[in-house]
This record gives sequence, structure tokens and C-alpha cells, in this order.
Amino acid sequence: MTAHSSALPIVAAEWEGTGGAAAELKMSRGQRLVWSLVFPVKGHRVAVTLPGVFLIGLALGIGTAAYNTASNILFLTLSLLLACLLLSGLLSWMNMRGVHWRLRPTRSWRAGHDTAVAVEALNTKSWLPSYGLFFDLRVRALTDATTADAQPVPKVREALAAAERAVQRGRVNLSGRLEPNGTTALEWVHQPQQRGVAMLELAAVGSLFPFGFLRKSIGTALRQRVLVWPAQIDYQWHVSAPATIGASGRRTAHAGGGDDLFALRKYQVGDSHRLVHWKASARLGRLLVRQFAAETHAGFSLLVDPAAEVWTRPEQFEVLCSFAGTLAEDLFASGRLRGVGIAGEPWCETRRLRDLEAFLDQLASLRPTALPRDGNAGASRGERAEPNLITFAPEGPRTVGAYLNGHRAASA
Amino acid sequence: MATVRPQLSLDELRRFKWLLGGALALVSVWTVFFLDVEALGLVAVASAVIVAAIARPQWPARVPALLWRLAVPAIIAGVAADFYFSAETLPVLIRLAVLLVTYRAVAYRRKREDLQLIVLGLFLVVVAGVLTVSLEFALLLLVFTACALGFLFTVTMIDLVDTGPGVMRPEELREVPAWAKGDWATAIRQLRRAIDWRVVGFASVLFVGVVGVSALLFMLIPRFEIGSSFFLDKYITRKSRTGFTEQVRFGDVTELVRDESVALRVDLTEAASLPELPYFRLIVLDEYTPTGFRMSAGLKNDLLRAQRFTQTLRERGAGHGPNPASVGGQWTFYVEPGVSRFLPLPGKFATLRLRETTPVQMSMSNRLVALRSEPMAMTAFQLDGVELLSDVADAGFERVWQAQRDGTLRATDPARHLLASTEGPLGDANETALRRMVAEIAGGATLPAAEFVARATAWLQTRHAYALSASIPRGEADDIVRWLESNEPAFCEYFASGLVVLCRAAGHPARVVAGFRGGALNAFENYIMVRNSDAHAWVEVFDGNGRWVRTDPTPGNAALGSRALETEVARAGDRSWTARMDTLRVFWYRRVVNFDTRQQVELADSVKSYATSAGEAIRARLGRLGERLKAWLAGPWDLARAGRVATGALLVAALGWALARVALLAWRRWQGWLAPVALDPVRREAGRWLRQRQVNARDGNAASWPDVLVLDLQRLRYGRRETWPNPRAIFQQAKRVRRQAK
Repeated sequence: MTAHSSALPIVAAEWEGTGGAAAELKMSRGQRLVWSLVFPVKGHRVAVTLPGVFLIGLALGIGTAAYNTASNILFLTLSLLLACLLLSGLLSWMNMRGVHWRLRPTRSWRAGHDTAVAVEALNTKSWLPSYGLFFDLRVRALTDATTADAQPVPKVREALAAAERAVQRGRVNLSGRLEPNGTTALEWVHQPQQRGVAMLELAAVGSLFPFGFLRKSIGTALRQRVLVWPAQIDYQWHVSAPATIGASGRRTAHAGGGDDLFALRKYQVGDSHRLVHWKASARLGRLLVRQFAAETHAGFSLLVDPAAEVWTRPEQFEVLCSFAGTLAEDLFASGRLRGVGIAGEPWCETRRLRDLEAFLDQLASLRPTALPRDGNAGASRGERAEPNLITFAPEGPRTVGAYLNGHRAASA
Repeated sequence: MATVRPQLSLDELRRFKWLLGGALALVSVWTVFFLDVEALGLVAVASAVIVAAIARPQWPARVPALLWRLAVPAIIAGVAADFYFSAETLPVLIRLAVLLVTYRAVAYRRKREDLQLIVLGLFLVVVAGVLTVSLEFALLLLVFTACALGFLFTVTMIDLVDTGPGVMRPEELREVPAWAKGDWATAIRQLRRAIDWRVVGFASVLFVGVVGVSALLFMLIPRFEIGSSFFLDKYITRKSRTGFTEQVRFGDVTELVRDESVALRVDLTEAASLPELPYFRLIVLDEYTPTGFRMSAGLKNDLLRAQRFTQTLRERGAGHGPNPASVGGQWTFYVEPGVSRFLPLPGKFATLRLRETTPVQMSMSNRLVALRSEPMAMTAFQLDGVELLSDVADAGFERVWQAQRDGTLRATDPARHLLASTEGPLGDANETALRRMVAEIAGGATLPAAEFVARATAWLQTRHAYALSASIPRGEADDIVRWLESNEPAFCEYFASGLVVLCRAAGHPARVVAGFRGGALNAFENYIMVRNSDAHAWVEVFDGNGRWVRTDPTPGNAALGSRALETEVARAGDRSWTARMDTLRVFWYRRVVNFDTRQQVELADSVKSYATSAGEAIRARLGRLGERLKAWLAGPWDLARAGRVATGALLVAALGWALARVALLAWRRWQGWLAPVALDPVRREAGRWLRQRQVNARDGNAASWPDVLVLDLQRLRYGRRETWPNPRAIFQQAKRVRRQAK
């Protein structure tokens, strides 16, 4: 099994800026302007704010009075108001011009846990700062096509409500100014509600600058696919379950306080001088210290079988995923996780952290599957004859039980 | 390393929002100074309170909560009482707006209250501007706009972060907010550190651009003649200057003749054709009272009866075509507010056109035109076909006068009131004294009107000198009779009244006329500035032949005559700084206040004709150049000429090259000024090595440059200085790599 990143970028985390979408059309600037008037770019929006409504009402009132009375003073005031509106548009355009942005989500997302997404903004203007930017972010859960097809077709309103529920929105504001040729990073903390594949999108970059008359938003094409791991869950471990412990102790894949040489690494300040591997250091011209393998413990393997006929209740299946993920992490943290697997998928030895993360990635997008129950899939597991194999099965309507070598060992 | 400019914190932004809001409130409140609404004391108090609140933002929190709670009800109660006791609506509303602006300026605010402050302030500024149309309004409007834009900018920046409620809660008014606890010196120092002066300069240029764009929009906005009068002036009145109302008491105009401010401006299209500086007739005072002259009730009724709602007036008998006797072309008058509701008229006219349809009162037999009420703002009107006549035909009076003399005038004759111009002081003391004086002037004979006027004027000027103040000896007779009997000096009002009294005593109908005489030609813009000190009173005497003839008994003014304009103008051509500043006001009146569809069309025509003529001129010039070039090329060529041409071409090319180099250098320096980072020697050196790598890459030697080295070079070129590796070591390594690549 090949480990892969939990964040699956569709658009690489490159800078994107104003006019990015239109640039794809390979048009001249004038053509782009005309085309944007005919067919506005998705997400581009100009909304009137409360001061804007004030201004429009004021301009209408003064304009009406000016025409009714032919008073040039009122015409002058009206002209000044209109000129201010033009200035507002010009400044807003200049403010957004040369601003680029990109998304930097954290690598691990977990349902029910706070997750930070960094939005980085760059101002490429030479000497004009940008003010008052805000970034509208959106996380949309991508529904699985197979499960969606199984659902009855809802009414439009219900479908829209369901779609809206599946979307989490947020906004981060740039309170100060973005210096010319400067960058800044803003953090959006949000809590994913469910595991699965989600699409993180920078829906729009907007500003109320300069006078707050209009809320101008620019739609962006910046989005990033992310995996949300299952939530961690409380479970109860039953100590009576028999576990096989290796007779001579098995060497684990983790550094620890054992006797076996595990690896050599660079010397770090604070390392004991007794650990320096002088021979290797002399050969490579830099200080290297020895690392020893951790002591052997009773190792466990986890096997998750997502058979649809076994897991008929979706909420119980969610508990399974959370339980499996939590158990795997706990075992790995104590150095006792030897391997993980999902029925029908290749087996994976958990030597490194990224092996565990790959397993959590699998759990993130795991769905109940109608596996053939002919023995092929089971044979692949059975042939391994893993000692201390933990499997999972439903216990009642809500609970999930973990079975060690066929004996009930834990439940959640 | 460039210093990083600090950002203003939220509290500092709130503090400057407080400052800008206060400035905005002050500017809007000060516009009331230009309005005659009896609110100057209120404005002074409001200004003091606002300034105090700006200086000490923590003070509003010390005001007892009860006062804050009672403030709005108290304002409402006060305004209700004001409404009850005041005869006019608009002044009450203005006082209400001043109170509300003050309340909003000194109370802590959130976004919605900030918007209320702007709207209230704008109301005050616009009302003041509309009612006064003064040049000062333009200045205050610009200052208000600048403050409002800065204020809105700050509000927007705060609103982005402050997600609290839109309005202040009552309990918040009692707490000193965190932003109000600092001092202004620290805040201003922080602002100076945070400000980029290039951005401030750019913002100033943009503001100038806004003013330019608004001027352009002002000219381009389509206008329709709906023909409705302005509504606000119905809710407010203003008093005229003493001297130009329906009653003038002796001595009342002393202040007026000392006032050097401009009362009216007269813009003539043909100033050169003006033979004399005219008498601008404003008002006729035909009824004598012991304290002065006044307009008779009959004449007032005549004016009222003739009142109509119009924009254009034509004087009876004036032709519609061009009149050869007319002078000055088109006369445009700009009369300052507070002068009079009577319009100054230099003589007979063909057409009088007002800026808008207005209720106008008129008496053409007396050549009087008046607005219904005292205007709050500058009054502009135009006259066409002006004839500078010194007499006014009045057939109506002639009929009544003859009937009175013949004894055939009925007691019920509706025109009987016209005889007010024949009645002088009553009582034995007065009549005895006047008879004696008339006998002295006429030598006991009955003289025709013109001769008596000449003798009486001479008699007056012999006995009395001109002075800007007058004193009257005590006695039993009326004031004017006592002055006539004395040798006291006085000013025009006494001379005119004295002559009228003498004429009436001699049996010649006469009346006092008030207006302006003289003025100064503005040497910069070629218009006549008439000051309040040019106010004058003169006499019109009925000549017995159906005409009132003007005579001016005041010493220094030629009776029935005129001085040549050339000498007057040469003497009065004003080149002072006051005159220069006054041209700005006239520009404001001409191009802004008086701008209408006609001027809009004229402007479009002039732009079109200018563009056409400019295009033709350019075409003609290019054609001439082409012809000259052709002729030059057709000339005989020899070696010397070719050499001269080649040398010239080379020189031009060299000059062009040098200029291009200078421009390039200037451009680079400008770019360096914009982005000083690019001038850093380490970054430039790193840039050179990166270019060297590109050269190697083109030659196929890119692989010899380790990725780590390239990354280090890129970090030196573009990265933050804090993250730099040792530049010297990196450059030495790059040098080695280049040597190996060779």
C-alpha cells in the first residue's frame, strides 16, 4: 500500500489573484472587460450595504429636489455624491488589483475537532497598500455517488436544505492593511462535522473598501480537496481478552530504549556523547548518533470489514470508523500496532506514522461495500494468519464491538 | 533594512473616527453662520461642546446617565416649544438639526449613529447652501465631503472587525471606552508613524480628481425646465438692509454708507458701450412722515395688485427687436442676499428675466420690480435692451395731478393715493419755515419745476456740506425742516429729503428714490462691483409734462447729468486683492449658481466649435508643413547640403538616444524608489547569479547547479532578510559552480 497525502490538491497551492479566471480565456484586457459585462464571472457580486442604501436614497432625494427646484446647489451636491460613488468604485478596483491569495489547510482534518485553514494574501502593488479585505471560505462535503443514488429523490426545497447543511461557511477579515509587496496569513478555524471527502473552497475575496457603500466580491476558482478523518471516540477495553505476546520479543519499528540498533541520525544539541557513532561520524564528516529500537510489546493488527450486509445502520458504521481509527491511533501511540487492513484492500504494516495516516485516510472515505463473501477476500486475510487480529462487529443497534482473536476485547 | 510601518489598532481607529466625526459635525454646524436664523448663540455653544468632546473623549462618560436619557426628550420638548413660539418653520428645523448633530457628535457612537451624524450634517450643509448660494458654501461642502469620506473610510475599517451591535446600548454611554483613555499626542505620533505620505498625497490627488469629476458631472447632468420654484424659501424670511425697505428713517443709513462689502455685481456683455455709471433704482419713497419717507400704502397696493408668477417681464413700450438706444448689451445682476426685495434697475429695459419662475410684484409707471419676499439667497436676473434714461413716464400721475389742480378730482378716485407725492410737512412751524425758504430760493416768483430744482439744489449745496454723519438742531419743526434751516452737514438722504420737501412746498410733486450710484469696475473680470457704501438717495421731480425727472442734490453728484464712464472707470478700475477674490465669487455665480440649460447648450456649442476649429487648424498646419517639406525636398541637392542634413539627422538621433537613456535612468530610479528592496546589493548580486544559471541552462549545463544552491540564491533574491543564509558563502559557491560549468 502506498501512503498518500490527506490533502488532495486539485489546484496546486499557487497564488491566485484578481482576473485569474478571465485570464484563462486568453483575451485582451478590453475584450475581457466587455466579456465580463456580458457574462459575469461566477461569484463576482456587488451588493449594496446599509451606507450604500443611505447614499442611494440621499442621491435620489437630492436629485428629485434638484430637478423639482432647478437649484444648482442641489445639482452640485448631486454631482459630488455621484463623483464620490465613482471614486468608491475606482478605489475598490485599485484595492483589489494586484492582490493574490492561496489556501494553506492543515494536513490532518478530523471530524469534531477544530481545524485551522490559513489564507495567505499577497499584495504585488509597488506602493499602494490594500485595505479591508475579507475572504469567504466554504467547506462542502462531497457526497458519495453510490449512497446518493440509493436515496429517494427528495423535493427541491429539501434537496437545497440538505445541500446547505452539508456546507460550512466562514469568513476571515483582514483588519489592517496589506502592505505593498507584502504578505499576510489569516487563519480560519472551523470544525468539520463528518468524516469523508470535503472540498475546501475560497468562495470569494471581497472588500467594503473604501467607504462601505458596496460589498464587492470576486469569485475565485481556488479549491482544495481534503479528507476528514473519523472523529475520535471513547471505548472500553476488556482486559480479559487473551493476547499472544512474542516469546523473545519482537523488534518494533519505533525508536525507543531497547538494545537493538535501530538507526543513525544527526547529532542534536542535548544528545549524550556516549551515543555518538564515531566511526560513522568520521566517515561522513558530521556527527551521527545511534538510535535503539523500542522494546517488544504484544502487537496487534486491525482488520475492518465494511460489508454492507453486516453494517446495515449508517450511524453504527460511523461508530465503526471512529472506533477503528481511535483504536489504531492508541495502539500506534503505545507502539503496539503492527498492521492494519480493510477487507478487500491490501494489508499494510504500520512502521511509520504515515502508514497510520494512510489507514485513517482510508477510513475517511470508507463506505459499506457489498463484498463477495466467497472466501477470496477472507482468504487473503486468513493466509496472513496475523496473531492478535482485532476485528469489529455490531453489538446491538448502536454499539460496535472489537474482537481480539475472536474474543470480545473492547466496545464503543 | 527598511523600517516596518506600524498598523493602527482598533482603538486608535476608533479614536480617529471620533475626531473625524467631530470635525464633520463642526463643519456642518458652522454652515448655519451663513443663515439668518437666530441660531448664532446656539452654534457657538454647540461648537464649544463639540470641541471639548473632541479634545477630551472621556468626558461624555462623566455625564450623568439621567442627562443622557433626558437629552432626546428635552430636545423634542424644546423644539416643540420653538415651533409654538416661532413664526417660521425652517429656522426651527435648522435649530433642531444643530441640536441633534451636537448630541450625536458628543455621544459615543456605533455604525448606525455614525450614519445618522453624516445625514444630519449633510442636511445642514445642503440647506445652508441652497438658502444662501454663497461661495463659502462651496468651500464648506468640500471640507465636509473630505471629512465625510475619511469618516466613512474609518467606519468601514472598524466595521470589518467590530461585529458588535449596530447601535450603542444606554449602559455603554456611562463607561469610558478603552479608545478614549489615551491622549491625543500619543495617538497623533502613532498616526504619523503609520501613515505613508505617498498614499496621503495620492489620496489628495484623488480628491482633487473627485472635485474635477463632480464639476464635469455638474455640467453634463441633463436639466429640464420644470418651472417650479424652490420650496424652502417659503419657510423662512430675511430682513433687508436698512435703507432699502419701504420705510427709511432719517439717519438709519449711517451704517450702510460705511459698509464696504459688495451689495451687487453687474455683468455686462458690452461694458465698453456704457457711457456713464448708472443710477440703480431700487425703491420709490413717496409719502412724507415726520421721521422720514416711506412708500405709500397706495403704491404698495399697486405693487400687490400687479403681482404675478412669472420668469420674464417686458416693460410696456419697449420694442422686441434690437433697440439702437440700448447700452451694455445683456446686463446680468447678482444681488447679494439681504440687500432688498426690490430689484435694482438702471433704466428702461426691454426684457427682465429671472432665474426661475417666481412671484414678482411690479409697477411699471414707477419702474419698480420687487420679489414677493426678501430673498434668502443671491438673486440673479438679466436685463435686455437697457436705456439709461433719467426720467420715468407716468401718465397716471399726470391725470390725477391735473385733476387735483383743476379741482375735478373725485374723493373716490382710486388713483388719489398718488397725491402722496405732493404732501409735505404739516403744521404752522413747518409751513412757515418752508414758505420762507422757498421764497428765498425762488425770489418770490413761481418757477417751473426744472428751474426751481436747479436753484434749490444750489441753495442746499451752498448751506450744507457733505458728511457721513448728520446732526439736527433742536426745535419745534420736523427733523428735515430743522436741518434745512441749519447749516449742518449731512449725507445724501438729507439732501434728497430736503429737496423733496422744498419742491413740494413750492408746489412741485417730488419723491425720494433709493438705490445705488457708482461702483467699481473689476479689472480682472470686467464687471461692475457695487458696494453697500455706494448706496444713494436722490430725487425725482414731476416736470408737469407726465414725467418724473431725476435730480441729485447731494454735493459731488452732477444734477441730471452724468460723468463720462471712461474717467470713472479709469479711476475706479479695481486691481486689489479684494477684487481678485471677488472674481472667484462672480465665477461661482456665473458658472455654478446661474448655470442653466441655455449655458449648457452654449457650452456644448463652444466645445464643438473649438474642436472643429482646432481640427481645421491642425489640418491646415499639417498641410502647410507638407507643402514646405515637399518644396524643401524638391530643392537642388549638393554634397554640402546632404552633409548638413546627415549631420542634423545624426544630432537628432544622438539627442533622442540621450533623452531615452535619461528617461530610462529616471524610470529605474522611480522603480527603485517604489521598491527599494530591488536596490539591495545582495539581492542584485543574487539576481545576477540566477541569470547566470539561466544562461547555463540554455547551454545545457543547468544540472551543474545544485538545487540547494538555487534555492539559497532565490531566497537571497526574493526572501525575507531574516531567512537569508550567509550571502558571501552562497556567492562563492555559485562562483565555483560557474567555473565548473565552464
